[in-house]
Amino acid sequence: MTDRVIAGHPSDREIVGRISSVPLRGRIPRYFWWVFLLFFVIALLFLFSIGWLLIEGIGTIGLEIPAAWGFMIVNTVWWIGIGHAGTLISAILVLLRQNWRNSINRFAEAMTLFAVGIAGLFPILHLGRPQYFYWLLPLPVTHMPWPNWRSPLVWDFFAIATYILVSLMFWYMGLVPDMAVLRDRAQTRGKQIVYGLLSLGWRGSAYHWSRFETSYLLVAALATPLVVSVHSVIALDFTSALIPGYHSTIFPPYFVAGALYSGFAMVFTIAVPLRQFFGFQAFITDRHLDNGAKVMLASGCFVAYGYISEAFFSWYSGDPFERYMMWNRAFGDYSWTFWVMLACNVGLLQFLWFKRVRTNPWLLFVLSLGINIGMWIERYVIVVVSLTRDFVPSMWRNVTPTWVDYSLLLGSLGMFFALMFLFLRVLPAITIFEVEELEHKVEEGKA
Amino acid sequence: MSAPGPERYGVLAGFETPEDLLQAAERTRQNGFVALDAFTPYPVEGLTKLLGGRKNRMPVWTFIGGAIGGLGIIGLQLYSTTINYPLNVGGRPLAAMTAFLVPGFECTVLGASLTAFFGMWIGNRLPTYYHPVFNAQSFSLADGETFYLLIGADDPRFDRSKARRLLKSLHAKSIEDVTP
Repeated sequence: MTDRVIAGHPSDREIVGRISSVPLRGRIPRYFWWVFLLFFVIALLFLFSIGWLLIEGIGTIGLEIPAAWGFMIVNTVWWIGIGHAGTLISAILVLLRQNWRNSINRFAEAMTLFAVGIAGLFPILHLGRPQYFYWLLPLPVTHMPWPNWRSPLVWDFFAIATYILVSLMFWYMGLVPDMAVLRDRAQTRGKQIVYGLLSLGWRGSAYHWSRFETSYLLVAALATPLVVSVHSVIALDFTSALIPGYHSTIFPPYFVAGALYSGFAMVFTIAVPLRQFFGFQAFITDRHLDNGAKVMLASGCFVAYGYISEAFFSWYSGDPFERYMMWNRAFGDYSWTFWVMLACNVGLLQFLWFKRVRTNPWLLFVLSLGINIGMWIERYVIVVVSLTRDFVPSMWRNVTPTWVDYSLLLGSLGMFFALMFLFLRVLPAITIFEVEELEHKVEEGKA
Repeated sequence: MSAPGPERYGVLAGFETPEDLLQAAERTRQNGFVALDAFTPYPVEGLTKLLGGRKNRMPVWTFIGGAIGGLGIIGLQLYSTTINYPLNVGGRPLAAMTAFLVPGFECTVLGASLTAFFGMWIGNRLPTYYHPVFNAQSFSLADGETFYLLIGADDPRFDRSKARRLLKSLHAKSIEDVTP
C-alpha cells in the first residue's frame, strides 16, 4: 500500500500507544544512548571551540582579507536552509491541506528549531566583539546608539530572531494537546508533573480546540511568508554587496529553493533512521518518502536553474569582473569545490526522477547525505570563493580554514543531532492528535 | 434541591466516536440544554457550532497584533533616524523606507504570531491546572478513543436524572457525575 498516508488500520488506541511509547518507556535500547553519547561528545567539542574562539578572538578562524566571511557565514546560511524544510512541511503544507505532512511535521519542526538556533549562533561568533551583539536590538538605553537601520545586518537580526520565536511558538502550540495525552498516560509521578505542567492543563474542550485550530492556522499562514522572507533577507546581505558573485538579483529565490532542497535532505537524513529504529513505518510511509523526494526534485531543479542563470548572466553581462568570477569558480584555485557542488546538487538529483529511488529509504538516505554536503559546498563557493578574488588583483588572497573552523562545523552537527536525540526521547516525535484525526478522515474516505 | 449531596458541576458522558458525540450534542441542544461542553482527543469539525458556541475572535486579535508590530517598528525606525538621532551615513536618505520595510515585515509577523499564540492561551484561560472535569474517573485523554459531552449543572434546565436519562438514550458508554 504505497499510496496510503497511514499503513494498516491502526485504532486510536494503537496510534497513541505506539507514538507515546517512545517518550514514556522506562528503558530504551542501549545503542540509542551509545549513538547519543557520540553526538554529545561532538557537541562538547562545539562548546569547547566556541569557548576557544571567544577567548582567543576571531584571529583563530580562517579569515584573511579580502575573504572576511568564512565558515561562520557558510554555516549560518546552511543551517538556516535546513530549518526551512521544517517550516515548509509544518506551515505551507498545512495551508495546502496536504494531510500526509501530519506524521512528519513534529520532528521537522524540532529540526527547524534546533537548526535555526545553531544558525543564529554563528553570526554572533563571527563578530569581532560578540559581547555587544545585543546592540542590534533597539533598546531604550540612552548611552547607546540606535542600530543602523539601513544596514542589512539589522535585517538579518530581525529575520532570524523572528524566525526562531515563531518556530518555537508554532512547535509548542502543536505540542500542548499531545502533552495532555502523555500526562494522562504517564505512570510515574515525575513524568505526570512535567508533562502536566507542559500541557498547560489542556482538557480538549471543544471551545479550546476551536481557538487552537484558528490560532494554529493563523500562525501557519504567518510562517509561510516568513520562511520565504528569512532566506531572502539573508540573500539580500549578499546582493546588496558589490562583489562579483554576490551582486545578483537571482539570489533571494535561489537561496530559498536551495534552503528547501537541503532542508528536505536533512528531513530524510533523520526520518529514515527514525522510522526504522522506532518502528514508525505505519506513520512515515513510502508515500511520505515519495512526496518529500518530489519536493526535493523540484527545488533541486530550481537550484540547477540558479546555477545556469548565474553562469549565463555573468557571461551575458559582458562585465570582465563577473566573467572572471565565473571562470575562477570553475577553473580557479577552488575549482574542485565547484565541481563537487555540481556533482552533488545536480548529479545526484537526477536519481530522484525514478520512483524506485524515491521509495527506497536507504538509497534516499545516502542521496540526502550527498546533497547536504553539496549544499554546504555551494554556500562555500558563493561566500568564500567569490571573496578571494575581488576587483584588485593585488588584494587577491586564498584562505585556509583552521581547526577551529572545522571543529565548529563538526561540533554544530553534533549539537544538532544530540538535541534531536533528546527530543526523540522525551517528546512525542509524531503529532498524536493530528494522526488520529487523519486516520479518522482516511477511514471515512475524505483523505 | 431535594437531597443534600455533594454539589455538582455537571454530568459527563463518554461516547465511542465523534459522530456519536455530534449526534448527542445536537439532541441535547434540542432538549433545551445550553450549558454544554465537549472534550475530544482531536478537533471535531462543527462541534462548537452544535454546542451553541459562536465563532472565535482570534483572527481580529491577530490582525491587531500584527498591525501594532509592523507600524510600531516602522514608527520606531522613522523616529530614531529622523527625530531622535539623525545620522548622515554616506548621504543616504534618513527615512529609508525600502530598508525599513524588512524589519517592518518581520515585526508584523512577530506581533501577529505572538498575539495568535498567547491569544489562544488567554482565550482558553490556559494554563488552568485545576478543572472539575479532571475529577471524573472516566475522564482521560490517554487512549484517544473517548469523546465526552458535559451537561453543566449551571444550566437553567439542569435536572440530574433527566440529563442522565437523555444521555443513556444516546448510547453513551459511560455516564458520570462531576463534582467541582
